[in-house]
Amino acid sequence: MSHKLLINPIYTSFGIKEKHLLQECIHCGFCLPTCPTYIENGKEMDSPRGRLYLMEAAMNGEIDISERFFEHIDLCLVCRACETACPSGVQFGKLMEITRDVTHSVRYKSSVSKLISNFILSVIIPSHGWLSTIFKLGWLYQKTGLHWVTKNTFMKNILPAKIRNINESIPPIPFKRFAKNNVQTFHAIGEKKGRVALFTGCVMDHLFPDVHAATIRILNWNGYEVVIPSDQTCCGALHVHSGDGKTSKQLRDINLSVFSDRSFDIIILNAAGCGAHLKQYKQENNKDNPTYPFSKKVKDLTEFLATVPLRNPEFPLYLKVVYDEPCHLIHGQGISVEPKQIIKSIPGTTFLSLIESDACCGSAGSYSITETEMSLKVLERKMNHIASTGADCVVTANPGCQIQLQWGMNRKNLSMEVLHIAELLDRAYQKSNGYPLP
Amino acid sequence: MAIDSIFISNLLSLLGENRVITHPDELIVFECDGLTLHKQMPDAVVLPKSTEEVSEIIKLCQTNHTPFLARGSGTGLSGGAIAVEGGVIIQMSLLNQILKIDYEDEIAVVQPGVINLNLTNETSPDGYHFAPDPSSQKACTIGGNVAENAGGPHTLKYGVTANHVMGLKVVMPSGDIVELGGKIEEFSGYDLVGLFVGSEGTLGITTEITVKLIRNPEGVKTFLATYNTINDASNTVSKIIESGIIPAAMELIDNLVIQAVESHLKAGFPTKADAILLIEIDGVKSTLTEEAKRIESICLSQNAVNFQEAETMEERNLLWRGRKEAIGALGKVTPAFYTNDGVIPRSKLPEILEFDLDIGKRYGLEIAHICHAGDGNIHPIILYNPDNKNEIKHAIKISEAILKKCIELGGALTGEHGIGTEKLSSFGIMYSDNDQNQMLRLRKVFNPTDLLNPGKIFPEGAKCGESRINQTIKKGGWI
Ligand code: SF4
Ligand code: SF4
Repeated sequence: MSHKLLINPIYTSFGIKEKHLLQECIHCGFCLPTCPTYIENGKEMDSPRGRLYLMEAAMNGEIDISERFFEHIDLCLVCRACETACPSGVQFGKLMEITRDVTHSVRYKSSVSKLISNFILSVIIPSHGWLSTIFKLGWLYQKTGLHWVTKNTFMKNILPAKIRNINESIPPIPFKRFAKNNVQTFHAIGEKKGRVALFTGCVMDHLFPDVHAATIRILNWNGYEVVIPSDQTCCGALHVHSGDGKTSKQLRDINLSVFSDRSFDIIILNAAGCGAHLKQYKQENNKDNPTYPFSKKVKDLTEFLATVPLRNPEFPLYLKVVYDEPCHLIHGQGISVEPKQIIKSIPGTTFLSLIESDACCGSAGSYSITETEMSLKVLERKMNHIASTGADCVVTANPGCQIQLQWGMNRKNLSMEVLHIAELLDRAYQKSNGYPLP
Repeated sequence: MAIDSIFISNLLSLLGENRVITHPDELIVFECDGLTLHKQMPDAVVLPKSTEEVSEIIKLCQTNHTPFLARGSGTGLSGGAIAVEGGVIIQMSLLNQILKIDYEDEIAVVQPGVINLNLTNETSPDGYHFAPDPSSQKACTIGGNVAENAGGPHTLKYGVTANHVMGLKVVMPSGDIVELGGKIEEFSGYDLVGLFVGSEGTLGITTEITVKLIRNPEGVKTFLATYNTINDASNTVSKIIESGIIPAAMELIDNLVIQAVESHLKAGFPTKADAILLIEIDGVKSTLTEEAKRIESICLSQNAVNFQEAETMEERNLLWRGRKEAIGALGKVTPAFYTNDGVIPRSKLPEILEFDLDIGKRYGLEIAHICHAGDGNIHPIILYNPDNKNEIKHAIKISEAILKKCIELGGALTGEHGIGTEKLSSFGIMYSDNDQNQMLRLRKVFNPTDLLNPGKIFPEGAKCGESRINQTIKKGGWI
């Protein structure tokens, strides 16, 4: 069952720095009840403290780097709830990234799945053209009714469980994608207060072009000119979580050069996962490095809006709203108050509290595909909490969470709307005189 | 005590593959709890989901002569959840349901794996809470609180866990299931609930706990008093109690801890202060203003350089977060530390703090202080380098000397952490051979085979020759 590796990459790669990072854990266990995987199965190895213990044991050569080890490393959602809970400031996310990175090459030596996963991560994801083609096919798949057939007829029982879950969770793919052929500029409405760049990411261009459009309108309406550099690419977060540090660094360098134009005051993101990753670009480097001003400029949309005099929506939007906090916003970037303030600023909306709003929904990048069983358990818990609120609408601030929550709604036959916070604010603005039409 | 494959397959057929852990590469994470000084790997870990399963597991262990013990979140600081002689750890994390909340009788029935704070969170919208509030309350289980008779800052007014447990369902070391106490105070027969609470998991394993729910006070005021000398702060403590006021909590925190908290959590503690007192009063609103004035004037008369009240709920929560996570914050300033848990009569506070300072200097190690000052429970925290063998030895020596001093001053070995494996060597300082034998005889009645949690509390407890505890520190935890 468990194949032992001949060399222990953690043993050889972890140095003083990593040892020091691990030593910051004082084994207090404060993180345990916040960890979704520990809540589900109650096992210490699937808790943050346990995973750190395993990393340290591996570093000291006390345990084998076997499939048994990876089982617990892989089951981590990297939601980083443990970081928020930790009184000692343990950088869990970083340690997990390092662990996955140093074990990656040895683990997937020449397997077919490695080739496929490599191809997807290093060729398809970073390419706007490749993604366009794939999503076009996806659009056709849904429009021709084939998707309906595989979801609703006997066909679904033929598909292996994993494929079936992926198939069912695909959200409706819009025909129009967010085009990035040339550098585009969207002008401020009224007095111009500044110039910002929009980081548009990879998959979002194709699945959520409306969220980008809403983001641009909101920024324009508040006096900001929005520039979209055309050669920008995927942030590389998916790659780091999968242990592919090499491609991730290549993508980083592309983005750094694309965004090196100093005339942007700010680089705005509406995807929490990418934001948390872009902000980390700086961690590997010091002040003299080109990443430094870049990472300083990166701001989540809600974070940025909290720092400017935001135009209040004039007309009420009668909605009961709950806010589900994306892990990479609250735990990854420490942003939690700002989005709530934005929602509360909309006249007519009732902000309802949501139990465990700061817990992961189980999406976690490709996690819902690789660890479907746990992902579904985590989602189930989340949906039960959401359902008990009686809200009309769940707002979040990350595309991955949107897909996952929408899937949760479908599975439970709930009719609540799932919205990105930019879509909600945009909708509130829409009745105002002079606000651009979608 | 190695376990054989028949025993394992029995466990597997009882619980299924998912709830039995037997591979050393996974068992390693169970080799210690919040005390990382002592390590011993169990031979298996099982995760029961019902009282009956606990009973079946225990019967299997008895038949196979395998030691066994219960474990909650593993936040304890005296090594209570270590499998000293190997054997089976019964991990209670899946027994985590609140079974009943009854406001009419002001009680709740919970499974042992319920997180302490979750019960308060669940009942606070209705105006109630669970009073014992150890610093680890975010993570520790109520089962663990029962085993260790846990305390916390608010012990001063509300008492320890023992004062809040009404009834217990216990699986005895024989596998028999018994119910002790109930939802009313029972005065006939022996008080077995009282005996079980604080027995450190050596008499039986609880699977259901009936606890009191306490109505939230009408008003709460939290104060922060700042001092230039730790001596002034500790004198204030006695003066306040002498005046007849019983605060809900009174915590003393010294400069080293303040620095650590402010470097990471930023609770708003004054970084230049030599010591601070965190004082909380609660009760009927009308009486609080008067009490607040009296406390302020006592603090100022004892040379407090600043006295302020938390204005908002957020400010209050932040101060408490700073206090409760202070130990964790120390992880930022030192690679390892050792938390002592001695108790002294309140009036001796200045004396013991001076003693600590001296002995720390003598061995060249820094000692930080957080004290539940109101009830004389001190937590000197000895900072050391885990890579330096001498410093480890010195840290242990210092701790033993402090405990000895506590006893001399008329105090006790532990306020809330328990004896566990940690204070085995000091147990004899407090209790004569006769005392210990009497306790051991009692244990024998409940736990005749000594298979339940051996090697804890009593130095003689480890019957099977030498204890297998491995006293090396490779981890930078709070030993
Ligand atoms: S990142 Fe999330 S899933 Fe991973 S250990 Fe931390 S809390 Fe658990
Ligand atoms: S809360 Fe932090 S220090 Fe405590 S066990 Fe978890 S990671 Fe370690």
